[in-house]
Amino acid sequence: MNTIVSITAVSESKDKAEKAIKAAFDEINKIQKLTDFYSGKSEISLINKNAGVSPVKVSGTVIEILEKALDVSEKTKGSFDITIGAISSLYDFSKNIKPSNKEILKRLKYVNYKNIIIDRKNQTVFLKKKGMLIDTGGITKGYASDKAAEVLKINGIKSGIIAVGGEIHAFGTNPDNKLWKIGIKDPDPNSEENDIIAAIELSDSSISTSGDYQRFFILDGKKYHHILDPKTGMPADLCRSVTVIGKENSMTDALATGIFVLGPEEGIKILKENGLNGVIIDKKNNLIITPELDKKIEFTSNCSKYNKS
Amino acid sequence: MKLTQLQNKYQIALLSAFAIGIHSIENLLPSPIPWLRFGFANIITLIALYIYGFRAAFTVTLIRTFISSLINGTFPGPAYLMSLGGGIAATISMWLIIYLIPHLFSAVGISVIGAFFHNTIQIFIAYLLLIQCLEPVILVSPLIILAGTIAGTINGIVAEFVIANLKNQLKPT
Amino acid sequence: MNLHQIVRNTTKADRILILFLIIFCFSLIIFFNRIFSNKPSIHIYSEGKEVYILSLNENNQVNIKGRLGITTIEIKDKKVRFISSPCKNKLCIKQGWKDSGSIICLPNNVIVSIGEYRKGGIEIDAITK
Repeated sequence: MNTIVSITAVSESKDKAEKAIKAAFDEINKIQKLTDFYSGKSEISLINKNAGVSPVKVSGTVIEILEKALDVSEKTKGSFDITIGAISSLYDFSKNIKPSNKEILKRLKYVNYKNIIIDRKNQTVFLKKKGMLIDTGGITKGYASDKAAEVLKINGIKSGIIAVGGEIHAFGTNPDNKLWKIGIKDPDPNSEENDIIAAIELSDSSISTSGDYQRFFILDGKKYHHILDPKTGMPADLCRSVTVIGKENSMTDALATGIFVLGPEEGIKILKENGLNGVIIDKKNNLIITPELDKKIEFTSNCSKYNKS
Repeated sequence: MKLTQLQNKYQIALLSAFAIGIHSIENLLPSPIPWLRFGFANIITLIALYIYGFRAAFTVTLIRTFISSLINGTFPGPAYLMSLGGGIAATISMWLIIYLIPHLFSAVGISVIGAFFHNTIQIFIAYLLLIQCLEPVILVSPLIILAGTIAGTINGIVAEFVIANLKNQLKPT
Repeated sequence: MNLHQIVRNTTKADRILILFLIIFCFSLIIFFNRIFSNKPSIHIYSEGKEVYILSLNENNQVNIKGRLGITTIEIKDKKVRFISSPCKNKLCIKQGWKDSGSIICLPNNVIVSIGEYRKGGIEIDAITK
C-alpha cells in the first residue's frame, strides 16, 4: 500500500503478537495486490481494461470492497464514487499536473457508480462504458485495516490498533488498559506533522479523516487537492477536514471522503442518519462536531484557530 | 577554664564536621521538589543546643551552612542564603523555646518547631530572591511545612536518642 | 533508651503541636487546591521551553527572550496580548487581546497560552489524517 502501515497488537506473549502482526501484514499486502490501481496486474486493473467489453471474474475480496463502496455512494448520493478514477488519473499530484477543463468535461460521463454491475452469483464485475476507470483508493485503506483487525483477532489478539495511513481501526484497550486515544490532525498547512486539534477515546471503532492537506499542489495561486467532486471533476472546496468515527473503517474511510465533497450541513445529517460521529472543519474554519461527541472529545489549543460552534 | 574553652572548640569542630557531612550527603539525595530536604543536619544543631547551649549551636550552624555551600558550589548564591537563613531561624527559634518554656516540649517538639521556622524562613527567602510570584509559594507552602513536620518529628526522635546516650557518657565519672 | 521510651517521653505539648501542624497543613492544601484549581493561568513558552506561568488575574507586563529577540506581552483585565515582537509580519500583535486559546509567534518562537498549551500534551496512540 502506498502509505505507512502500522500495526500494534497487545498480548502477553511476544511470539503470539509477532505472529499475528505478520499475518495481518500479509492480509494487507494481499488486498493491496488485488486492488492496486497502477499495477496492471491487479483485479481492479483487469476490470478497468475490460470496461465496456466484458465482465471480469474477481475474488470475493474485491466484490466485498466494491459492494461497500457502492453502499457509501448510495448514502452520499454519489459524492463518494470510485468511478472517479477516469478523472483522478488525469491529475498527478507529485508532478503538479492538472488536466484542462475540456479534458475533465470529456471524461465526466464515465463517472457514475451506477454503471458498475456486480454479479454476485458468478462473482463478476462489469463496467458498462468503455473508458470507465474504478479507483478503490478511497476505501481500500480502511477495508485493509478492518481485515487486518480480523486477522489479529483470529490469531488470539484481544487488543490492537491498525493504522493504514491515517485510517485507524482500534479494538480492545491500549497497553495501559485504557481506551485508545486517537488524535485528529490539524488541517492547517503550517502545522507540523504531529499537531492535532483534538483527541478522542475509542474502542472497537474506526476513525478516518479526509483533508485537503494530504495531497495537493498549488498552481497559479489555486490549491488543487486530491479529493475530487465526482459531479464536477474538480477538487471539492466546502470542507478542509472531515473525520468520521464508526464501526467499520471501510465505511468511515469512504464516508469521510464523501462528506468532504458533500459539505458540512449534509455531512452532519448523514452522520446522524447512520448513527455515526464526526468532526468537520469547513472552508470558513468552523469546527462542527456531532452532539454525541461533545463529552468524548478533548480539544488542544491548536483548535483555537477554528470557530467552535 | 582554659581547658573547657579548648574542649568546647574541639566539640564545635567535631559537631560542625558531622553537620557538614550530613548536610552534604543529603544534598546528593534526589528530592521530589528542589530544596525539599530531610534536614538531618538539624539533628546536630539540636544536640549542640541541648548539650553545649546556644552559642555552640549557633556557631555550628554558621560553619555548617558556610562550608557545605562551598562544597556544593552554591556560595554565595540564593541557595546558600536560604540555607543560612533557615539554619539561623531554626537555631534561634529552638533556643528561645527551650530557654523560655524549658519543659513544655521534649526534643521531638523542639525539632518540629525548628523545622517549622526553618521552612517558613526558607520559603520567604525563596520568594524574595527567586520566585517573586505569590501563588506558587502559597500553594507549595503547606506541602513543605507538612513534610517538615514529619521530618522534624523523625529528626527529633533521633536527636533524643543521641542526646540521651551522650548525656550518659558525659556524666562525671 | 529505645524508640518506645522516646515516644513515651514526648510531652503532651509535643503531640498537640505535631497533630495541629499536620491538620493545619492538610486543611490548607485542600483549601488552596479548591481556590486555585479553576483559576486560569498563562503559560509562556520560548523556543519550546516553558519559561513563565503567570496568573491571568494579575495585570502584568513581561519580556520574553525568543529566537530573534525580545517579545513583550501584556496581561490586563483577564486578557493577554502581544505588545511588541521582533518578528517581521507581526501577526501575533495583530491578534490583539485574547482571553482563551493561545497566541503563537512562530518567527520568534514564543507561545503564550491561556491554560496549558497542549501540543503533544495529550498522549495519543495514533493520529487520523
